Amino acid sequence: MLFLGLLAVVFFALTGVLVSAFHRHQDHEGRLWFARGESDLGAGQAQAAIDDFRNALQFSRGDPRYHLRLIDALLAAQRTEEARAYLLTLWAQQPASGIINLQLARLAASSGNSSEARRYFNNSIYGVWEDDPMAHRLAVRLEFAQFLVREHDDAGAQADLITLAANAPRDPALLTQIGRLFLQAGNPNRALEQFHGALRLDPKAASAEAGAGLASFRLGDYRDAQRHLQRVVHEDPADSASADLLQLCTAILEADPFAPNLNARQRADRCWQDYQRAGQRLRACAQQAGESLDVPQAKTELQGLAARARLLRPRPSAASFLRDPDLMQGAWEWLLDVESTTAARCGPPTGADQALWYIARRRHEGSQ
Amino acid sequence: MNGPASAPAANPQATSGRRPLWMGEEQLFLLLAVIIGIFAGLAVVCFRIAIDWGRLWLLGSALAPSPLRVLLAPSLAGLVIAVLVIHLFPRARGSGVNQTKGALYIFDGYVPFSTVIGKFITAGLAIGSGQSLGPEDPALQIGAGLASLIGRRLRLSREKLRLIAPVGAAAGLAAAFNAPITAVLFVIEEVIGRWSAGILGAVVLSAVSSVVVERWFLGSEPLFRVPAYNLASPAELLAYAALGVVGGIAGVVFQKLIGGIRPRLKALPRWTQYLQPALAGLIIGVIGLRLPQVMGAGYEYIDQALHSQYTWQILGLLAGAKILSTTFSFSSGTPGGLFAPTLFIGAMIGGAVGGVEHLLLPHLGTSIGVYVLVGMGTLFAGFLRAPLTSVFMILEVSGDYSIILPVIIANTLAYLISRGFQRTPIFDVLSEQDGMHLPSMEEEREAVILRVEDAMRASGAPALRAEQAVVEAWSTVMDCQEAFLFVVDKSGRWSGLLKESLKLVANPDRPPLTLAEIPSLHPMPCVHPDHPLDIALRQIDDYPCLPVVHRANIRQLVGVITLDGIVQTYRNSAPPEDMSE
Repeated sequence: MLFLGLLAVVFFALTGVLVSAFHRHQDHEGRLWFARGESDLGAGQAQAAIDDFRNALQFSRGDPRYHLRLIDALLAAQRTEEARAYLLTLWAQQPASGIINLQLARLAASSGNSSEARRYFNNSIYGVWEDDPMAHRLAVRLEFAQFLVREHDDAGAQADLITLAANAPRDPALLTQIGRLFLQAGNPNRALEQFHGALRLDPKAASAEAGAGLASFRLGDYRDAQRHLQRVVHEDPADSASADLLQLCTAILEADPFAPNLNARQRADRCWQDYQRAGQRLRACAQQAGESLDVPQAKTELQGLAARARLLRPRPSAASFLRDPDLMQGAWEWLLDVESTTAARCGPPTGADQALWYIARRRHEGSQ
Repeated sequence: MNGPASAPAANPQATSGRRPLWMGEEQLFLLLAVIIGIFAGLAVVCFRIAIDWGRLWLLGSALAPSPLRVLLAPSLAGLVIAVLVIHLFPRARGSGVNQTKGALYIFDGYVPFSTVIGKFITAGLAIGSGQSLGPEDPALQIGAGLASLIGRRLRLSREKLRLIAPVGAAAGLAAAFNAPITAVLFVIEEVIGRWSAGILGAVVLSAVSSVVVERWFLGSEPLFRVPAYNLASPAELLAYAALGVVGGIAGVVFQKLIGGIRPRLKALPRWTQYLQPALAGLIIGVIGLRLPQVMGAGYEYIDQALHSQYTWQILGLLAGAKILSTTFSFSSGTPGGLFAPTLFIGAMIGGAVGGVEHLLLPHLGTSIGVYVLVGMGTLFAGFLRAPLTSVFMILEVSGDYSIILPVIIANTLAYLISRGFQRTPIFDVLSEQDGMHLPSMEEEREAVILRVEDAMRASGAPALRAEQAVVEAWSTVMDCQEAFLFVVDKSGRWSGLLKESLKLVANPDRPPLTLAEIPSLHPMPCVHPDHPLDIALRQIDDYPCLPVVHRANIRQLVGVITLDGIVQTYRNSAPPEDMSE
């Protein structure tokens, strides 16, 4: 028995040496194939990368990097179902893994399974990340917010973004990104806060400046929007979106009869010009639609608007607007209806009509 | 296979000449089981490393090796294997399961150590070079061989030496499979053939210790990473039943191919034996050019199938190609096992059936990987005909109890279909082809057990009570035809006496006696109706008959069993054909 025991110890030790040598060899082979896979994936050769990563995995099945890169390669090769099955198996082994949950969330999102995507995103945010968990969680939260915005879940996106903004590092690019998401989620106030935060950190951040311009515009602060957008266009004249928005802001500011610091005469003049402009838009649209506005009995929406204009008393003019503020109110209600109806019948307004539409809508919202 | 002419006759009197004095043979046997498990575990770890290293060396490190290697490695290795098997290790041929059974039933537990060495080298080379065979059955034989060597060195008694080979076999299989329950069940179901308390403990201990050793070195990672399963609707079970049917038919085809081709190849001239493994290797190489998955054990490809990485067409093709390549590899006499190919074929069939079912019934929610898993069990049940092992193997491999219903349904159907079309199980076919007439475990499992109730008859006399007065007792039985009477006391002990003896003492002129006081009253054993007839035969000794008593009331006589009745019952139950072989 003693001899057997000694023999077992010797056999054990020899086996240990053999196994250890073999494992070293396997690790070496695994690393070689992994490097080849990375190279193939980088070169856009997804199929070759899949083979390489599979080869690597036969030598080191426990290495999560190999699994995850294989999944990346499968996704790059559009083999989604395979990748999903693979991920689910990994998930069954490590249900708290942040990266596996994130990959599953992405797959669920791309396949339109919203509830599953939300579940996996949340698992990923609160999951286990081996290195730099804070940064990973912020990145996942940002991606989750983008997903929620795409899903038109504005309330959910805003809730996520508020948490994200509270924990985000002072990085102008990140703050700008959060601001843009706030804008997309319909919260220009919080968006403006983020853009201002980014501009405090980097006053030359053009993207934050443009975002601040857009947020101010959405908030109806056209003066502030104009200020931000002028800076953007000055720095980058090629930024056509900002230039267009700046043009609109300028048109609004020039046409707005309710702007502060205008005297009564200026207000009435602007109102009269806007009324005439809306009348031109109505006539142009009626012409485009082949309708006559001079009919005794209104049968269409456009004819109804023309009839309403004829009924306005006293007859609109710069002088009557100056005398009668109630007429101005009635004229603006008519003007909003004209812009809305013509937009529906003849396409969205442009130029001065677009500016009128914004002024009228803002006035309407303000009155409500 | 011929008996080992050089096998030393086991000494029936030898009782552990080298064991410590304080240790009984039973304790020594259990301790030995652990030691055997350790040795078998270490040997299997080395065996697996040898296979993997051989594969790396011969086929390269890519999952899809280069065409030149694919063609040359199995054929050239086949030539070397043929020379080794013919000249040095003739007993290393085949899978190893029957050789281990042979050691148990024919050779008193003797497995030559040269067979262990031979199996290690030739099977390692064969599987490493890409021959379509698995490492489990050779590992089983390596374990049995090591156990036999240790048992012989310790001069165990013949009885223990016989049993020690299956103990080693369980250890070898458990380490190769990383699944102790499966190994224990397989050895009980296919090698030993019966649940015996005397050996069960040793088999379990050896299996567990070998798996501990194996996991120590190779990690506790399961053989496969299985997908999650949940049964969305009971109707899905029908899909698994269909898989069972297909698996059963595939099992029959696989059996018929091996059972048909192997004897034909064996019957060819002796010089062809040198070429057969090489030709088999070449055929596998040609198949491997397009389908490298069929080469070797193929566990990594089962894993890929489990994760839906193949279409159902490819899965079906792989199943067919693997059946062919394994048939050629195994029939050519190349050493290696059938376990891994069986699992591979079953997995691919399962995946293919699952794929087709998903195509026809898109609402089926279960992943194809689950069909792959269940498919492995169906072919195990249908081809290897080990139904219990097949179910527990899947549970152990998957670690998921919820899969049990599909597995039981599919495996049972596969097993029944296989039995319906192929009466003799594959291992029995192979042993008969090798000239060994080993007991069929399937027949033994299903043999009708004759019981006491089959041979007993109603008693012609009532049971007498020991406290009864002799005269009163005589008046009760004087008109009965029974020559032997039974007496029971208050504690349920039975005795018997001849009716004539009672008559002699039942004289009213003699002093009053109770039956208990009669000197000729002999205590005797009793049997119950459900006892095997074998027990009654052993108990009856010189008694003319035995009382058959009720289990719930042992003072109640339900019948009588006689030696004539027992013999007649055995005669009546004899099978119509001559079963002497």
